[in-house]
Amino acid sequence: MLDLLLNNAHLVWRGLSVTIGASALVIAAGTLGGLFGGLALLYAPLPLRLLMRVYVDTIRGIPLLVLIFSVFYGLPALGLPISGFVAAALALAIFGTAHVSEVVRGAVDSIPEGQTEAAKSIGLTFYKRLRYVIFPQALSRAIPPWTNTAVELVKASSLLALVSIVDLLYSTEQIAARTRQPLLFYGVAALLYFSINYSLSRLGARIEKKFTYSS
Amino acid sequence: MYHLNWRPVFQNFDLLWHGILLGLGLAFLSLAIGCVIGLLAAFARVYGGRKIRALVTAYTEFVRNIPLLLIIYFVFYGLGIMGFHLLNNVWSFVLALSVYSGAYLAEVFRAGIMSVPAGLTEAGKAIGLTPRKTMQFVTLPLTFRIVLPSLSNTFISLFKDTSLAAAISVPELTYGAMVINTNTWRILEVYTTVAVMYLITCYVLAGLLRLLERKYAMVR
Amino acid sequence: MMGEKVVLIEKLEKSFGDFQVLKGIDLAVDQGDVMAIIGPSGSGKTTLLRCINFLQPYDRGKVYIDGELVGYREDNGRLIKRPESAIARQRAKVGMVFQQFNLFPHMTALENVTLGLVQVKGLSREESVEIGRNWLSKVGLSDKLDAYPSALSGGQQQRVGIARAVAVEPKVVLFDEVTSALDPELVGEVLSVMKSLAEDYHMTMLVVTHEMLFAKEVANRVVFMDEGIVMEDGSPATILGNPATERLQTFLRRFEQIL
Repeated sequence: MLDLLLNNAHLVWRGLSVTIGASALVIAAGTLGGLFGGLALLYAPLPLRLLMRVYVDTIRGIPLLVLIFSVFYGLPALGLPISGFVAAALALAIFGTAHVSEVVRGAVDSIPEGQTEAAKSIGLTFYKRLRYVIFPQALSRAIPPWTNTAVELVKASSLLALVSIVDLLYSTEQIAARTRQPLLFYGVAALLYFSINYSLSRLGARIEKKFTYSS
Repeated sequence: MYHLNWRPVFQNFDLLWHGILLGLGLAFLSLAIGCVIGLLAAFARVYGGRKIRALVTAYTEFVRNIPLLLIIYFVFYGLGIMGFHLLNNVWSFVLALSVYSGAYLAEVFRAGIMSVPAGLTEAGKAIGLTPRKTMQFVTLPLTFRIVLPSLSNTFISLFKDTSLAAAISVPELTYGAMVINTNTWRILEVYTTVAVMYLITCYVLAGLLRLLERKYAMVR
Repeated sequence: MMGEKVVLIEKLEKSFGDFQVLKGIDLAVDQGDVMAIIGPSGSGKTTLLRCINFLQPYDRGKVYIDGELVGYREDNGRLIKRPESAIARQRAKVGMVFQQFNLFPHMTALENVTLGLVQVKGLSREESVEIGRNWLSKVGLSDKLDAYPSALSGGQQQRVGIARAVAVEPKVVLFDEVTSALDPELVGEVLSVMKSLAEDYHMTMLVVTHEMLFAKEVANRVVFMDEGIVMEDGSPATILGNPATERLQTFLRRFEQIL
């Protein structure tokens, strides 16, 4: 059994690097997009706010798989020459942005109204209020749900296998079918996913500790 | 130029309709089994000894950090080989989704049990209820009322997760979309329709569940 | 046995971690006694009550209800904890009314009262409803049988709590500062129910309270606790009118207006 593992290790590694790469990319894109999206949900003029709201609620109201298929098969059908990986990653990024937008909105909303009032009363402008009072406090509140979203995105990257992108799950499927050892290889894949996500969660907890002020 | 042609979608609408019903059924069944698993796990974590607590925590932590699709493949391809050929694709999916939701629900129920006010279980004890009866008449009914909002959210999530059953050819809504697409290549029309169907269903479910919550959920 | 004390407490001790709350309590309660337990906060009054019905296990000493050792059984001089189901049976003989009411929010007032009758005393549903109705009307809530606790005022909730405790006919009823969480205008209705329990039904009652007038007018014994021990124990006239110890005199000074 050990030699089976060793013989296929390079394939597992290749899939794993695609998974890690795609996840990192999507988490970064989603976080950036979500930051702007959250701000839009909170402070943009009404039309844009409504648009964002519809966007977030729609994305969160449909299964991710449907979103991936729509983008992956739909964009080329419309004539856009987009590679499979980019299409799938785009779908995941759209998904991530919607979730992070909601995380940002929730974190800022959870700050008591009194903080904004106190900041206004000492004469801070809107931008300065956000920068010095609201966002520092929102940051620590946003980290746990952000970490959850990041973990969800890593797990979501496994759906890339369903559009034939050679990620960890796809590679595992192939190896398991070829070697007739599904339990072994799915088990290994599970451990790998677990390690990535568990480390992410721990990292998130550490970062949160650094940024939390006791009030 | 892409010309929209909705007819193939509507001609095959029964496929989609049955798919949604199957999806709801799968979600409901998995929620039910997941609740049993979650309740048992929560009991183990609240009332059990150190070893069983560690075991259950390991289970929940592990399952919550791996992809659902992986669990589905593990059950369908992995257990299939081990001789569990009793499990066809539908039941494999139900098992996978139940195990997955059980891990989440374990935490939901654990938090629920812990937030039943201590004074109420004491009042139960004070009138002479045995531990079993205190659980039956006080702790459990109150736990369910407390966790009802979380259960509702979980059910809606599970319904969306049933889309992954398409990966092992279970004829739910997303699989129906894939079939129609393969036969007619009306990609935009099919997936738009399916997306709208999911949205409407989730919206209706949320509304119905909110009505249920209004009647039963604990208002503190 | 004749002349059995309803509650007998011998050298009761209880600590929470390093802090010893009860430092050796000796107390005997006769049938029909209405005993007011007074004292400053932190003196251990609530802990004492909670040890009597074993909501809190005690460390040393003995508590007897109707001659039976509560919570433990003796084996060659060692105290061995009884199983939970046996303790439940013992608790059925002791009623408790809580400061925070602790009514079951998912049950109506009537259901709160009948739960113990059906599930602990094993009475039929019809009998239980009959008894429950009776007690709820005795506490003045005959029109609130089907109301949920959230629809009741604090005073009404507490009266349901009293009905719930006494409906199962316990040997003794424990009252743990039952009016402290009430708005002042609701205190009176609860105290008059308690007075009626004492005078009309001759129930044995242990009442931890700050209501000195109640202690003076309704109780037949007053016990003053401070720092985990019983400092004084006697009739209301003696304890409240003629305090012997310095501590009790200091404590009573804040109630001068009332007494």
